Amino acid sequence: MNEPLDHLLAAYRAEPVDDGAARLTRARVLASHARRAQTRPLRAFGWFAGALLCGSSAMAAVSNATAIVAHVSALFAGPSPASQGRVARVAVPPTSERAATPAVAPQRHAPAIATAPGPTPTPPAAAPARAAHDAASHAERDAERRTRTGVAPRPSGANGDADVAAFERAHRLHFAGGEARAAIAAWSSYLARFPRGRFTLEAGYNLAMAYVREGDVDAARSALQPFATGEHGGYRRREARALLNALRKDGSGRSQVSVR
Amino acid sequence: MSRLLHSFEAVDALAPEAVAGPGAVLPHADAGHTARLRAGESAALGEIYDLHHGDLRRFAVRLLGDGVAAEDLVHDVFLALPRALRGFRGDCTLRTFLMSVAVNHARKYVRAAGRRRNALARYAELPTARPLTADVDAERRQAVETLRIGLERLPLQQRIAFVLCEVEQHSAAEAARIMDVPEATARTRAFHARRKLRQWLEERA
Repeated sequence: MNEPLDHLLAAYRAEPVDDGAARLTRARVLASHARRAQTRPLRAFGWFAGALLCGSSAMAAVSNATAIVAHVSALFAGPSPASQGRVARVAVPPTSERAATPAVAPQRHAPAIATAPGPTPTPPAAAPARAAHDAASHAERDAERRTRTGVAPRPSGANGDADVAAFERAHRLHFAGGEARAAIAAWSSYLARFPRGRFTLEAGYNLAMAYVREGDVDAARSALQPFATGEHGGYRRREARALLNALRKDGSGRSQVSVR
Repeated sequence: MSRLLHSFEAVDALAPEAVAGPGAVLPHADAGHTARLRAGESAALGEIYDLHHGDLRRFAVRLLGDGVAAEDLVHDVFLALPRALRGFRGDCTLRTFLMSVAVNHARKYVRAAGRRRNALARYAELPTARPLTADVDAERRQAVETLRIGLERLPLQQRIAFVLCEVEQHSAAEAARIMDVPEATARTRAFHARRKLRQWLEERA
């Protein structure tokens, strides 16, 4: 009590506290508590509903994003991761055997028109020729786009370099070499070596194109059928259907694929 | 939970007038009330309020320096009590626990109380606890106002420590328990608060 602060402290301690509002505060506390108790189940439901909504929205967003990524990657960079996952189920024809010995004799009209896009010589060959030409030019556009945009094939796994090298070699033979038989051998070799490789899907489709160029209609049909029936998703489905329809109309009149 | 139940079993074996201190168990009445409140009995909250609102209100008024804000703080503390009891292990008195809840909730009221007091001061309408009837009262009121102004100048943690240790005259151990800090920290905060107030008073004089 011998300094000003002690004097102030003594006065502060002695100051009476007005508790006139104590009963009012008590009533407020109990009313608020009762209100909370009543709304607690509602709040719990609200949290649950909110969590459910957020979760489902996130799932939808992720699914949509995955679909968009798959679509874009199919457009610009080749098969999507999702379609790569299905590569294991791809029924790749026994390419090594075909590569070694072409089973069917080349049919003249298909490769002639496919490799030389010009006026169609005969009406029956026009449809397959146009479809083959469209498909081949589409593949060439893909290759050009890849070159232009600098999208290089990315290696996957330990043998990624060999994967890329084999694909590039087959790609060169297919698009630059002009030798359908050599391209068939190269694509078959790629598919045999890398049945689950980074470019298996593209290689399978390019092999079918090479068969069309070579005139091996039966091999082309069996190679195109998985793409036309959608076994690989939407990848080249439209082109494969058109090509198969064109091949079906071509001469034989037989239908080996049911286009739905 | 099991620790708390053990505490309650131990409490049952004690005399009802068991006195709580640092490390002591709950008094018998508090243990019963908290158990009932945990069980969802709303009436227990009213009984706890009746037992402890006086101490809590006094602490709130002394800390905030504003009656309205103090009432709001008391309201918030008792409203938060049912949920806060989930973390209550029964190793201190319920009064101490309520004070610690008040300390945790005080921050948002400190500024509001200061703003309200400043606004009222501008209009010279500072509310009085009771009418001024004598010079002694006027002098005491002046001293109280001076200390309130000084307390507002302190950092919140030092202010809490000062009110607990110097005004409420809690032991350092109990103040530390309320603030959930080591005892030395509570002592240091109270020391610095006292030193700052003394300096401020000297400068003011």
